[in-house]
Formats: sequence, C-alpha cells, structure tokens
Amino acid sequence: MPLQILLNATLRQYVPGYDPYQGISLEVSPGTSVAAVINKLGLPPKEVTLIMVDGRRQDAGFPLQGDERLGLFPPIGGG
Amino acid sequence: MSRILRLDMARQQVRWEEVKAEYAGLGGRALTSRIVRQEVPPTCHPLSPANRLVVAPGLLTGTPAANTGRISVGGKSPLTGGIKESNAGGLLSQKLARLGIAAVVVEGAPIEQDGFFLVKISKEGVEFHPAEEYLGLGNYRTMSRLWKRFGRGVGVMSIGQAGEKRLAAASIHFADPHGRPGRAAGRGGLGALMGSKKLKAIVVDDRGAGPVALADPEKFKAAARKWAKYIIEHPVSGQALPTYGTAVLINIVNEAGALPTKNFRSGRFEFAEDISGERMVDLIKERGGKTKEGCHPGCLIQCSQSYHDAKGKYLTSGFEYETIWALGANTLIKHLDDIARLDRLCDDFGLDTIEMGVTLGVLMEGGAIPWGDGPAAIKMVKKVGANDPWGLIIGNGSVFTGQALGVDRVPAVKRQGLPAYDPRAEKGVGLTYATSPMGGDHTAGYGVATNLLKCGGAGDPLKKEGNIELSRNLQIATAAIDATGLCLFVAFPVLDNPDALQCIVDLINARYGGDLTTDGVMALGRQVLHDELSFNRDAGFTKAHDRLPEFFKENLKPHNVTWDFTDAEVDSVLEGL
Repeated sequence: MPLQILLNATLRQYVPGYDPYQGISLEVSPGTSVAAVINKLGLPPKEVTLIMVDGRRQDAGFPLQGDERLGLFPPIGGG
Repeated sequence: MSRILRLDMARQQVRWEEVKAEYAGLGGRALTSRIVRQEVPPTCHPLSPANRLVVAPGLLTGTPAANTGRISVGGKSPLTGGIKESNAGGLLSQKLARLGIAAVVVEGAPIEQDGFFLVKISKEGVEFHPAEEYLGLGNYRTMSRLWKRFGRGVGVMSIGQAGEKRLAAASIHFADPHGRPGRAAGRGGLGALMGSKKLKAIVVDDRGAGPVALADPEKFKAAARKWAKYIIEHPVSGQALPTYGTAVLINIVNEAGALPTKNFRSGRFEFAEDISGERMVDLIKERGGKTKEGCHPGCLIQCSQSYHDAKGKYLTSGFEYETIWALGANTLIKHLDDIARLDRLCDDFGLDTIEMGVTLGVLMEGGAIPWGDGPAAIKMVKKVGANDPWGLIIGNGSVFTGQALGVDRVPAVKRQGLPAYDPRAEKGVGLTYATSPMGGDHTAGYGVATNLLKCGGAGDPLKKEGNIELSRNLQIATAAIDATGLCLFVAFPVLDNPDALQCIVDLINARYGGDLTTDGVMALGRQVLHDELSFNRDAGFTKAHDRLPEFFKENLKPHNVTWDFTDAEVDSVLEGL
C-alpha cells in the first residue's frame, strides 16, 4: 500500500487537478520524513501547520513507513 | 449609566432599575447567570412564571472594538433543568448597549386569554403590542414582517413555532444584518422559556441613541486598533474562518477520528468530503451565494455565508460545522442540500440544530426513519411546524425522543445532546461535556482548539494526561470571554498571542475607567462558574449528572479508544474553583 495523502483547505490549490475524493498516492521509502513529502508535492512548508499521520498529529520531521494515511492542513479553526 | 429593563409580562408593564451592587461590573453571561442565580428559584418549573428570561449584551458590546456584538441569553433551561447561558450574534445586542440597557429581564407570564405579545424598545420608550398576527409564523416571515413594520435594520429576537409550543429544543433567533434568522441562541431550549412568557419577539430600535460612553476614548482607540490587528493577523480568525466558515473543521475532525458518525458509532464518516467546508464553498461559488458574512456589524472574522440551492436561490445562512455534522455525519445524510434544508427548517421553526441532529440520530436508532435518508428527515422535522404528535416528540429533543422510542443509545449529558466531537477521541472537550453546568456543550471549554488545532499549545486528544487542567482552564477563560460580548473565535488569537488578553483588559478599562487585571478576568470567569454550579446544585444536580452515557465505554474506531476517566478524575475538573 503506497502512502495516501489528503490535502485540505488552501493546500489544495498547490496541486493542480487535485481530487479530494481520491487524494494522492505516493511511493516513498521507509524513513522518509513528512517534510520531504511536503517538499516533493511542492507545498509551501510554512503553510502546512497541521500534520496527521494515521489520524495522530505529528511534526514535519516524523519518519514515515510509507503505507500511512497522511492528512495535511493549513492553520484552521471553527467550532 | 446603564440600567436594567424589567418586562412584567403579567401586567404588560415596564420597570427601569439602576444596576445594583450585586450586578455591577458584570455583562453578558456573567450578568445573566448572576441574575438567574439571584432571582430564579432553582427548583421552579422552567416554564412557570417564576422562571426569568434574561438578555444581556457584553461588557464591550456597543463599542467600536471588533467582534464585540454578541448577546447572552439566560434562564433556567427547559431542556436541562439547570442554569443556561446561550450566546448569539445578530443586530440586537449592540442596539441594547447603545440604549444604555445592561440587561432585559422578562418576568412572570400573561394569563392565557391575553395571548402573545411583542415588545418594542427604542429611545422613546418600551411598548407592548399584541402579537396575534405573527402567531404560527416561522422566524423568516416574522422577521421580514417586523422589518417592514418597524423599519429595515431594527434588531429582532424571536421564536418560531417550536418556541410557541414550548418545546424543549426550541431556540431564540436573532436577525442578522440581512434580517435573516440564521443567528441563534440555540442550546438549552430558551425558545420554550420565551414562549412560556408569551413573548413572540423583542424589537430594538436604537435610532437617535448615539455611541456608548467611553471613559478614556484615546486609550480605547489605541487598544481597539491593536485588537483588530490581532484578529486579522491570526491565520485562523484572519484567513481560515473567512474563507471556509466553521465547516472547515469537518475534514480535520474526521482525519483525527473524532467525527461522531452514525449516532457516535465511529470517528470517521465515509462521505466527509461531501459535507466539508471545502465542498460547501465550491457549491456557494458555483451557485452565486456568498462565502463571507459577519453575524453582526464590526465583525472582522466573517465566518457566516449565504448558501444557495441548485437553482441559485437563497436557502440558508449561519451554516455551521456543528449543524452540518449533527444533521450530516451523525445521521449519515451526505447531501449538503438536504442538510441545508434541515438547517433552514430549524432556523425557521426555531429549533437548535445540534439537538435536532442528535434527535434525528436517535430516531434512526429507533427505526422510525432510515439512516442517511435526507428526505425522510426533512419530512420529520416539518412535523414540528405542523399539528402532529411526532413534532411534539422530536421538538422536545434527544432524551425525550429516546424515551418515546425506547432507545438506550442517546448521546446526551444533563439531557442536552452532545456536539460534534467524540469525547473518546477528544478527551479534553469530553470532560467539558461531562462537567459544564450547561450540560453537553462544546463552547464552554473547547479543548479541540489545543488538542486538534494546535492553538495555545499542543495537547493529545487521545490521552488523559493534561486534559483535566485543559478543560478546567478553558471553562474559566470561556466564562470570562462570554461576559465581554466578544465572539468566542477570538480565543484563537488569544490562545496564541500573550498580548491579546491584556488588550481585552485594556479595552474594558478604557470603556469603564476601572483597573481590571488579567487575573481579575480569570477571577470573573471563576465567579460565573460559581453562580452556575451553585444554581445547579440547588436545582438538584449531583455528581451523578456529570457522567457520559455508558456506551462511551465501547471502543471507538479508528483509534480504538474509550472514555476511560474515572469518576474521581471527572469530579476533579471543576473541584475547588
């Protein structure tokens, strides 16, 4: 299973043709950091402030196994 | 000098009163809860003449400072049986403040044959008018007729059919700057309390009133300028909320595994994207609606919107995350247009959207309508506006409906349906649900901000550690913010910017000429909770009421978490305040 990446809110504009129902599938080698994935996708790192790996919040340095579900968000709030 | 306006509904008479010592220096929730504590017998029936409906602008309301136009509505809750403060936007609060009114206290009740009234408040005085011609009308038509009669732009608070029938899920609606009822003091059935007073509407016209007095206009101006900057510069209040509205939360709460789905059975909804803020904004743009609207003049955040139907016709506004979750993921309804129609019906009949969503989940649990069936849900909610016993059942909320159908899976605390975060996967807000004197409520101590959204630190929503302190501190801070008339979304900049709380204090001091400190603000918050907790205690509430339903001991997917706080841990949240 490749990495499944879900982009949210304003981050979607940086990946033309992004399909929110599919997300992005990406093969990465074990140990790849979230920061490297953000870089590879061409997202501005400063705008990615909330990182969810398999539903748990992590930092950009978090090393991925390569088969996770990765949710990326800019600052958001509501309630 | 502000005064308290008392409306004696039994005699249709008015009494003005200077603000006495016990009520001095209080506003918003601090004032409504103090008046209810002092004047309402805690054991009274909430629909009896002994109960009082209290409406109070905040300490900063009516000033030019940004986002200060909220209103607090208080009373003994017909839903929970405890004290209630419900908070809303709209036009009315700033107008009351400009007329020098610290609070309106609605007392007693007319005798049956006198029928319903509406009250008009202006610089010229206060008038009672018969309201027979508005009876049976929803909030949309009521507000548009009242604008026609009393002038466009007047402040209106009104009830729909649910409030007239004194149903426990009834809300009170406030005209927004377009004269629409998208703004609600939704929670706790205060619409039923207003209905029991035979009060269909209050109209407030502040023409000729002039601005509120400022003790130090120069200092106020300087602080207000800073305050606006803090709001605009924070990425949540300055960018995310204006762009997507509160529904931007759907995807992140779903991702965190905390989006209650199918009556709190799992933490993720397969069709979350279909009901997300991103999807809502695309539809609004496609259909010529508006993505940004403020709920009151002077709002810089603009998280409301006009949502249009597929034909491009206005359908609803104030289409919030909580509403979309309750009527959507919780019921498995995935068509945003169905959810918007339900929201419109709730605003029109005057029903709390969270309570209705939870109630529809209970109806589906009991097999009365199928899961995910939008048209069946719409048909059911329409019965509240008609003469139908089903309407009387669901209009009384989730617990009542659960009893009527023999359903044991009812997500409620103190008889109030739970909001849009599963307490097992967001334990901070779970503790607030359990312990808030308001009953199951998220705004009273929004752990989500820290645990999921990383504002004011970064907690862990899945672990117990840190969440007792988090819920306690947020409940105190929120009670204080609710006293100011500030929109609660200023909490995002306040949590992240150490200067912002001092700025609020500077604003209050420049308005009144006092010497409040940030410690004083927290003391105010504690005092509000004291009033509320002691009222509830005298109304018969015990620790046993501070418990989540048993079924939260079940595992919640995807994180396989349970509600694992001991009773002693839950009890410690607000202990020794």
